[in-house]
Amino acid sequence: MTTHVFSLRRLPLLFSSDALNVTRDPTLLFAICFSIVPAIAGFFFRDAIDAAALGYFGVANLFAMIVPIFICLPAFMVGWVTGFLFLEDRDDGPLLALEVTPVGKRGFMAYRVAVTAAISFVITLLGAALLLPERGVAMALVLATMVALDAVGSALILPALARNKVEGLALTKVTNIFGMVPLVALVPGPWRFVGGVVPTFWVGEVILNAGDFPSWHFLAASAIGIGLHLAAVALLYRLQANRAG
Amino acid sequence: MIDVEDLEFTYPGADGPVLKGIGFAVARGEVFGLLGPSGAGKSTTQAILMGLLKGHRGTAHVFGRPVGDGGGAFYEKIGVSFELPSLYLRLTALENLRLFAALYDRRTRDPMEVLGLVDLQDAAGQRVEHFSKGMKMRLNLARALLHDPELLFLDEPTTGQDPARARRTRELIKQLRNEGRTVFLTTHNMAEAEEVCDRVAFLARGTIPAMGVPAELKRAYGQSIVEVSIAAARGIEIVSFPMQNLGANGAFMELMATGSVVAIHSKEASLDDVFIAVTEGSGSKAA
Repeated sequence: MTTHVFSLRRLPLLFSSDALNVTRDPTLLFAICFSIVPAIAGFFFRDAIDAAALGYFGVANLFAMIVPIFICLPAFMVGWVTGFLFLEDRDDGPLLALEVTPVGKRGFMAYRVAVTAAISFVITLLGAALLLPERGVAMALVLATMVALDAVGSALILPALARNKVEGLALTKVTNIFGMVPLVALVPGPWRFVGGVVPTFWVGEVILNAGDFPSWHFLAASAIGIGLHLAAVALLYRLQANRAG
Repeated sequence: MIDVEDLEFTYPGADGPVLKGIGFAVARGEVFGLLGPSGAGKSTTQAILMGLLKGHRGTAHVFGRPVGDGGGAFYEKIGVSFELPSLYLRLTALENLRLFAALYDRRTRDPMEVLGLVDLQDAAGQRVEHFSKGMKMRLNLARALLHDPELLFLDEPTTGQDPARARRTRELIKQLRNEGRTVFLTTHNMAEAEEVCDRVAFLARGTIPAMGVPAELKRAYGQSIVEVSIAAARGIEIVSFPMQNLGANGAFMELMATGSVVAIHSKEASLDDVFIAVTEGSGSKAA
């Protein structure tokens, strides 16, 4: 087992090869492209969504309530794609070939996780700028950090718990539930904090209840949320490392 | 290049060791074949030498250092072609090599040149998912050569290849030896081992019962007799004579004088015979 920092001048070549690998699979490409559609639709049709929700279901300000989903969805999809690539590398054999390179499978995994986190961070910053422009830079940075860690967790949970691609697809149905957990923050009163054991809850709490920086509620929710995300990522990393051997 | 002494390995939870104190050495520029039946421990030995399996007992040194001590620099110097294709199926052959080239710090070879070595240059732009198994195996081999390694681990390198392609692969292995590279080969193909290996070791039940130069092993495990085929009234008949003092054997000399001799063969073992003898337990010999 080896971990080695590879030459930065070759990183673009590695990234472009990896990106080709993703774009040549229609399912993976669709997942990436589809993930940002709701946020863009929300930006352009916010008033129409609110009017329709009020007219058909009697729900006011629906858009503001479902913003956490729009913010989380791209990261979940990017993370899912990365996790699926990990499973594919394991099933099809490249992981074995990567293990006997100077970078090693841990190094390659670190590269993929870093790319996943970086892409999710940027997408979330843009999403926050688009959907929550009035909430400020601090809010955008906190959300981007938590959601980038969500993407990493989403990437690691597949190789951590699934033995192959088929199990990975089945597991995805279960993990999709985590994407809905931010909505638990809509529950009035302290009972909502039961959902706080799931890291994604804190994305909803920060957006829907915590107010803006530098309120104590914002600072506390951000700190707990980021800490819980980090703990979840560390746990999933250990699980997948044990499975990978 | 490789030094192994008293190497033992037991998989966690296994009843007993898969390797029971094996030992061998591979010199720089040598093609060394590790032969044996499935489950004998060939892949385990290879995995230990590549630093992929921890927990062995005994000594295993590669490049003069204990295995696993070399870090990333170790993998800059070895090339591995696995028994099964381990490639990115949606990428082309060329794209696969470019991706893997990005993982090395040392200067890598031109991917097209490497594809040419395994006769895949015409398929460079073809996605690997459309490759036959033989083509995938050749691409595996090309990837192993990409960074100009000093030591190559080749696991069944001609699997899935037709005889003509397999011959080219064997020629390539000989060319690698002529360039001074060391090759550690594991194979079930005895003809291949005989053709390309300078020395072979047979691994059976966790031990090495026979090791040596293929020609000498064949002699050691063969019978010391000469078979003479003669034209007789009922067709070809075969008569055997002991090799010892053949020139003084009156019956043999008499037969030679009859003019009916069609062919003469020394009855040495094939490497297949050696394989069967050592893996089924009929003795151990060093040659």
